[in-house]
Amino acid sequence: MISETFLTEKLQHFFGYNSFKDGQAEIMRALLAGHSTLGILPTGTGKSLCYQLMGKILKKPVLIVSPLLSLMQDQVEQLRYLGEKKAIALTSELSYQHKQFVLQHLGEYDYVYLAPEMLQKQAVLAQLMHISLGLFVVDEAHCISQWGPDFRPDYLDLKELRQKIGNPLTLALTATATSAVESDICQQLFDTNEVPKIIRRSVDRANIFLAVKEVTSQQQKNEYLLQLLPQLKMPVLIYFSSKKKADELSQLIRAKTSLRTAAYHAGLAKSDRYSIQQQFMQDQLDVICATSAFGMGINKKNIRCILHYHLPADLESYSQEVGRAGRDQQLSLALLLFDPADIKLQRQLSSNTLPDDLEIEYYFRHKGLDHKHSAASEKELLLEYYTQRAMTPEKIRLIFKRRRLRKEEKLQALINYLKSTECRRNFLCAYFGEKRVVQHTVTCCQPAGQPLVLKRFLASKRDQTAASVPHDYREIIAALFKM
Amino acid sequence: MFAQEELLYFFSQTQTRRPAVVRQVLANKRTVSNLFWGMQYQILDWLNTQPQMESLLFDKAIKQLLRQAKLEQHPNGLLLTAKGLSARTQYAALHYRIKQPQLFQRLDEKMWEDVLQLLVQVTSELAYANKHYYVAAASDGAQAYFKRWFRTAKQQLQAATLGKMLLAFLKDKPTREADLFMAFFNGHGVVAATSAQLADKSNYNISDIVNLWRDYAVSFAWFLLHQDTYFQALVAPLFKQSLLSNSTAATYAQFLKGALPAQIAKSRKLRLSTINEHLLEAAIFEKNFAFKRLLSATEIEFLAGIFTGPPSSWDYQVIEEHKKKIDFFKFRLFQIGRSKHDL
Repeated sequence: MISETFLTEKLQHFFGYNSFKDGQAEIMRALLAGHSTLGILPTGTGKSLCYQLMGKILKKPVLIVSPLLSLMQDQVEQLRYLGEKKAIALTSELSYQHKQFVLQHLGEYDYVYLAPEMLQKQAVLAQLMHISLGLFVVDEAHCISQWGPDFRPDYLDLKELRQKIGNPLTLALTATATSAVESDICQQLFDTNEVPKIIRRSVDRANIFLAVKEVTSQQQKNEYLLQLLPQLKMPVLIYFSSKKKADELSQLIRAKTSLRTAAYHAGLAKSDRYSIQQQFMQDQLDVICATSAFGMGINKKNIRCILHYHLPADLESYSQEVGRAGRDQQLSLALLLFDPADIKLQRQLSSNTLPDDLEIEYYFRHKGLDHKHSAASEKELLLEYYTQRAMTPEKIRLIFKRRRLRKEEKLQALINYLKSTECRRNFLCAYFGEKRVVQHTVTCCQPAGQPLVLKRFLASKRDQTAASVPHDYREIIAALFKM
Repeated sequence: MFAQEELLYFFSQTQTRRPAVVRQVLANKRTVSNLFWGMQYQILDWLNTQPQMESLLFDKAIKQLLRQAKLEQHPNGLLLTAKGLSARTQYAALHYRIKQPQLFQRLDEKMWEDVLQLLVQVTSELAYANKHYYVAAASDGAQAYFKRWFRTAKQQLQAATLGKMLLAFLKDKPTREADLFMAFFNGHGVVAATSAQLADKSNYNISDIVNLWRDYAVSFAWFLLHQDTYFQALVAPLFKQSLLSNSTAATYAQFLKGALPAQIAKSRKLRLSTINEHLLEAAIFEKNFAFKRLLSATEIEFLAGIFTGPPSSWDYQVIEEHKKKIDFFKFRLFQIGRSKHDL
């Protein structure tokens, strides 16, 4: 049995923290006892640290399967920031020569991040078969579940790939999983004779006040936002489901208030995204108008308010995004601005990512999709995946019909949450299959129909004492190079 | 990224110009025909200044300019109208225009921009002896390239030297532009502004800000290339020795050694027409190209006799009317020689 003291010493030694967050030590103890583990820990509870520290303790390579390129790059940057030089993201962004070099020296890296598609490549698998892995990590493991919101067909092959590399000790991680997703992850990832340990922590965050403001039009939404924002405690993160809207509102807020605002989405240049993250981290920005591209890998502890301008896709995304508020455990606000017309928009966005019957027919007839439509390549990848597995158009049609139904069910659950006259925190706990019951009070959330009292979240006086930023080029040069 | 009005710079009131040539020159689509016409339009300096140019956006902008009567359609191309000229003048007064376009065809710009960000950030953190920082967004290739240089330069690298280089580079530049350029860098305790933020704070739009940054970045590379410091070793490999494409350079090397087109074709196992294309490209870019090794005195005399006026207006059909056997390659070579005043 590994003692808590041993783990805490290692934590202190490698990461400089004095104590673990809830769930971390339990996961590590399970892994060190040789049990593959599924960790369901809410956003902000340090999931990555579990495998990072395991790598240090086991002194063997850790392989992390991750769905997003940007997420992998962020994680590698964070490890490098911590002084870890042997971390790499094996992605299509590497040059051919660099990729060959990494492949030939794969066993020498402490942390290797890759997407499931990369893991399927013969050259990668061949190398992995000769390496004694310390830990195999499946990050964002909910992507494996067809019941989950971000299902990725590539994740379905992980069980077979894991077998090929000798079923190494495995840690699957996710922030949110309903009971159905939880059992799906276990079934899709582990062999029948394996019984993974499941460590789950509640999605409930006592310091985040959950509220919904219903409006009747977009204009009313904008007016409310412009009136509320300058009064709120900063910083604030506003989520949008469109890049264009994020840009528009960012401009509007800049024009109508004195708040320092920027938009953040995948359409910006890499360097601009980096600058905005840094400005936000260093409190040079009050408000970020972002799409879901913002947040992953960004660890800012004092976000006082998460606003949703549009509806999120489902309660899984919502609780992940809301979880970015108040990581310092201070009182924070999660406010969703709800215009019933947004339901139609979200329904459209959800179904847009899946090919419909006509597109399936078109794909089979033309061996491709019409790329005039923006989501065509994503849909094509999905269709490619299923056709490569010799599925008939009929079967594929059925799969997507089911997936659409599930998405609709999830959207319906979100709508129920918005309209719920019961405690919102209890609603979320029940949705994620938790037995926990929160003692509802007026300070924990605002159920539908109750007045929205935001006094506790308003700033008494706007703090405008942020350090002044030099503008003269000579001053910038002097500051940069200590001249 | 480009503003619609920027395209007006590339059209003339007196010479009809084909928009496809303009687009392909800006995007560095190097066919001999594009290069030749780019030379005739005197826009070759702008080669590769917009490598990411999307043809759909370009075509849309041209259509818009035609609709606004700033350009007008003629049988051989487009002409700038008086309204277009006035719009261009107004635009030029308010917006930033790249000052050193010719450097974009010499430098690996994308790589350098990433390397420059790394250079400033890493040197700045070094000045404060800080090892814990998030590295600025740079491609993996740029990081690997920079690391290789940094390993050898680290011992002698002084933060103040880079600071002095930047001060020397910027001292004669307009202060407003120098301020905007330096606002783009991250370093110890210094966070860069985004192009949208700088546009907000200045009278420029985002496209101007991006152009300014790119222009200053490549000009700074050129500046460092000519300074006797360890930064020279960082920039020199990113500059091309020659403006010719690799295959053209190989052909031209043999030509310089005295080989004739047919001999080069045989030794390089390429078609004669390909070799001729290479030689035309070399004739366009190379100083002191030996036109007279490919054109006889009689041919020059004949061509000079029948063609006068600007070379862009000459028509190959005229040669056929004189029942002379001079192939198109020689005609084009003569056009290039005359355009460069080398014949």
